[in-house]
Amino acid sequence: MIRFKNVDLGYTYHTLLQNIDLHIKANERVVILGASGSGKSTLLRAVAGFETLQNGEIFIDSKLASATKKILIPPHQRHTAMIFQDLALWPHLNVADNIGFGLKMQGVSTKQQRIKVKSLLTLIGLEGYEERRIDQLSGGQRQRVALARALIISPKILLMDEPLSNLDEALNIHLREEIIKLQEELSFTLLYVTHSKSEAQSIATRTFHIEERQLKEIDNMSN
Amino acid sequence: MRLKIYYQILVVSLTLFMFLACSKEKNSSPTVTVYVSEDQVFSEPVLKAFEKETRIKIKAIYDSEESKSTGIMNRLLAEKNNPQADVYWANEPIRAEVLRTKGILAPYKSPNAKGIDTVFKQKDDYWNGFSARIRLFVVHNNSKHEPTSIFNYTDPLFQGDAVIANPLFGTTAAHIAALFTILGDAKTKALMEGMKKNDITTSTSNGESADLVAKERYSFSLVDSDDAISRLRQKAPIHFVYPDQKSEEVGAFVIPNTVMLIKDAPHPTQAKQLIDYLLSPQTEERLAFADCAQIPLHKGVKIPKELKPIEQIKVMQVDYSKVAQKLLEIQPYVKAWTNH
Amino acid sequence: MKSEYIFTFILWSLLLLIGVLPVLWMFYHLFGNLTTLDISNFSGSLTAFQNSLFLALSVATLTTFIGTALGVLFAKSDLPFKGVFLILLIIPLLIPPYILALGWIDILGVKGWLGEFLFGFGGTTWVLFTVYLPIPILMISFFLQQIDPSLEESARLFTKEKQVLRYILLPLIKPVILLSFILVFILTFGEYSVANVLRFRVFALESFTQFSAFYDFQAAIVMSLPMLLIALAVILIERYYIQKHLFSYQNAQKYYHMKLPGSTKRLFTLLVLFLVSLIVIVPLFGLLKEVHSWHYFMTALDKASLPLLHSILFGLVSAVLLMLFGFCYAYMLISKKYMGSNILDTILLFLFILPSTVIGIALIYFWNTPYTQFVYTTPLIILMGYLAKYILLTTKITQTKLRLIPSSMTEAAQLTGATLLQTIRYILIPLSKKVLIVSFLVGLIFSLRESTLTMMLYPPGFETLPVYITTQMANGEPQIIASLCLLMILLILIPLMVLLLTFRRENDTL
Repeated sequence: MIRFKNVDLGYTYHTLLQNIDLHIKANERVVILGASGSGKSTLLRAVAGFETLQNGEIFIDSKLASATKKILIPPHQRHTAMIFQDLALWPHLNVADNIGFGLKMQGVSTKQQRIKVKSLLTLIGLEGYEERRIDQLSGGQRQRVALARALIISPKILLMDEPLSNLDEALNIHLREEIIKLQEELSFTLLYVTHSKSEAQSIATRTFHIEERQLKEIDNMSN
Repeated sequence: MRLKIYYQILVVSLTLFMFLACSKEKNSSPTVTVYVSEDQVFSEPVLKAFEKETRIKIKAIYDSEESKSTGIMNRLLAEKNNPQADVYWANEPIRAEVLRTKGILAPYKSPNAKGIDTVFKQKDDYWNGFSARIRLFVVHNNSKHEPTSIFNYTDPLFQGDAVIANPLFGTTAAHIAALFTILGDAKTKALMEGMKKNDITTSTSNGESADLVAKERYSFSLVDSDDAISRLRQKAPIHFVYPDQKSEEVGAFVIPNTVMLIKDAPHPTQAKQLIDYLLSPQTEERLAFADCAQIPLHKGVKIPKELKPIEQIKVMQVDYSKVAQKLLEIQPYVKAWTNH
Repeated sequence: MKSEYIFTFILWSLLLLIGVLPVLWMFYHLFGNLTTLDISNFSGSLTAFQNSLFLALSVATLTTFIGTALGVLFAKSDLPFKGVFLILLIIPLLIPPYILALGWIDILGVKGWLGEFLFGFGGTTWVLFTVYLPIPILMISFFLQQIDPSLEESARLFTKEKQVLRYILLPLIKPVILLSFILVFILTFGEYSVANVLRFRVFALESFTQFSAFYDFQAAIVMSLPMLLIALAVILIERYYIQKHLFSYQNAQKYYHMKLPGSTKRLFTLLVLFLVSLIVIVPLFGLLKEVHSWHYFMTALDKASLPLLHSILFGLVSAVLLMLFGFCYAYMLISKKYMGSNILDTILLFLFILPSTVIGIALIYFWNTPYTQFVYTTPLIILMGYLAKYILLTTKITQTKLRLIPSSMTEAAQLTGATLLQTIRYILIPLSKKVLIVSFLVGLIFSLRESTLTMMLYPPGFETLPVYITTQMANGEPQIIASLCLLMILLILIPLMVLLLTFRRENDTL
């Protein structure tokens, strides 16, 4: 599903990751572990199409998506969804409009949008929250809205950038379970970055660690 | 680093500013503050000459054309209770009269006012006239017809082809008021209405009027003589005509500069010296040969060849204090006239 | 707590001294013993008021519409030469507006259908549109670049850049668009010089006429009171819409540029070039072709060296003070806990709306006493005038940005023991760095171009360049006047270019 070929990532005068060679198969749950500033978010953003590569190629679904200093497939054509660290929920839209945005952009009718949004809200346990404003939601609720927004377009790839880092332990564990359940149900490839070993252990089918600008696979003690 | 440099520039500016703001001149030389409504390009050289000859430092505030800003008159009125100016040099007598009636002036009989005709002086010496402008027609050289009288503004020959400065302001306002005192209300209002019917355009100033004629947008305009002479000297394709010079006609309206002493002036001695200087034949000669080409009111003063001496011009016989009074009375009428 | 009292005391003292007390004193002085007021001069003012409303609405709508489009292009696309275009578009804001009007008279003439369009509503709208267009461009460009890029990126995963602009970015800056509309509306409503030249009867001209033709202060000030109605309407809109619709989001360090397709890029470049030529080059061509020799420019520079120095000094100091106090008043407004913050808005707006001449008269009445010569006879009085007139602009710009900073930022600082001043200095000011630069720029531009108020207040020997230009226009040599105007333009353009370049280098683009 995602193929990194000799990828170097970083900024003009500073390389964060070197010589990444990685093949992620469809429906895998891959977790990237690393300290703050190690480049894990940059890796995710490169897959999304928000970062150019210093060197190398990224293939998505066997198509060349990014090459050296070039973005060949724009973000909205990569069938990729992302949950940002700060969630990036649009403050001027309510819950339903946030979740349904992707469908609206695809030209889906308002009626169909409403139906699908409702079913997603049920899936994430927030029935009846359609008209709520984002600032009226708790942290956990916002996480779930962000998740619903990502999943409504049935992405092939879901990217998650430390999505649970601000939550209490109980909620964190609960949401991990939900993510796994959703991934198995909806069959998407999950690329998840975190600095938490326990998250990696519970979520990943494969785990990588960033060490000295290289990506190293480590044994995964999965559930 | 860059921002640090900006902060430093700002700190230096602030320091310089405070220095400037707080610096009081170590007054080894005396000073006089003069507010000037005569155009700065003409008045500044005269004041600099005064400074050089007398070593009295001039602090001047200059005016703009009346239609562009509310100017010095309002400043003088607002400062009445604590005057900052010593002398006011106005470019016409109407303002002088307005200030006199509002109690802003103090009388001063200058020895240099002796040679000037009494019609150009206030009878109780509150102000004195000198170096005059004449209201005349500036005419484009290609104009098919030649205007000779103010009533040509209503002549169908010039329909839509003449311009006049806004009669609410300045010398045009004074001229209209003068006509009201000479011709009477009925005849002057008929003239004004006739101008409107004849599609006469109003501009914002005499300068703009002169420029419009010079660019052949209009055939002629009534302007001040300094506006006409300056365009002539800039080689504009125009000539000028003194209006209403026949024996039965009203004559040309003369607008002298006026100089006056401000009541409770901070520096009265230096103020009187300046007034004497401005009223001298030497100043009149200087102003005659400057680009403003103003006509001396002292007899026998040398003048350039473009100008006629005052005694050779048929001058409108007016009482400026009556003109000033009439000016205020007719303002509602003139305002309504400009609005329609 | 003590520092908060001192903070409030200083800010209110300043406002009282530069605006509130002088205006109240003036009202008392002029109307205290009023038994009759001659209102015969007010006849026909309703038409002028209606004209002004219609003119202000038209100019504000036109500038906001086109200014928003240009703001988006300059902030979010890779349009070539946009820095140059922006700087050129700012030029009409820098010179006395009636000079532009005279330039258009030169080009279009006074007769024929073009002349008929120019003299009246059409021409006045056009000229004022060209003068005030930079305001929405600057505001929208700036705030678009403050939007958290993750809000944009999360939308880009779903759709193309155009749709992201339409559904996400523009809705997020709706309050800023409205604010720029309001500012242009107020500025247009109070402008009279262009309308005067183009013979369009506006309300501000009524007040001006009372001063210039009638020397009637009472009538002139009464004429300016209906502008209070406008001020009240503006406050209501601001309080009940803008404040409710500004959202908190992070201080952005990076922002996206849309890559325009080749043909679109060419088309937009040509369109903007055409607009710039029409707005800037055409009216100024007639003026600037007078400067056909270096000699005239050097002569003008020599004659105007002192006014130029005064302009630079007063402009810089005024801009700094406007920026600093604008920041402080903005902080007072968003904190809401300071005494009088409810009416602060109203006072600032009222001072902004009052005609410059009225403010000038008020300051003269209040400060021209034997005991306050240290203020009245020094450039301090000019600074006071600028502060009174323009403090609203910098306050509103800063306020819009301060609202976007989460209160947790300052609360976290206060929990560590930081005083109010320390919180402002170490937390709020660094977070507001960019808006402070914009605020400084706006303060600088308006201070440098200000002439009406300066003419009323400047002590002898302290004239500024715009005042000098105005006095020289009466029979000055056209070549010298043109050179002085060019000098005026350079006076502002050079620091503006330096600031904009600094600004750009501090922003990474993605």
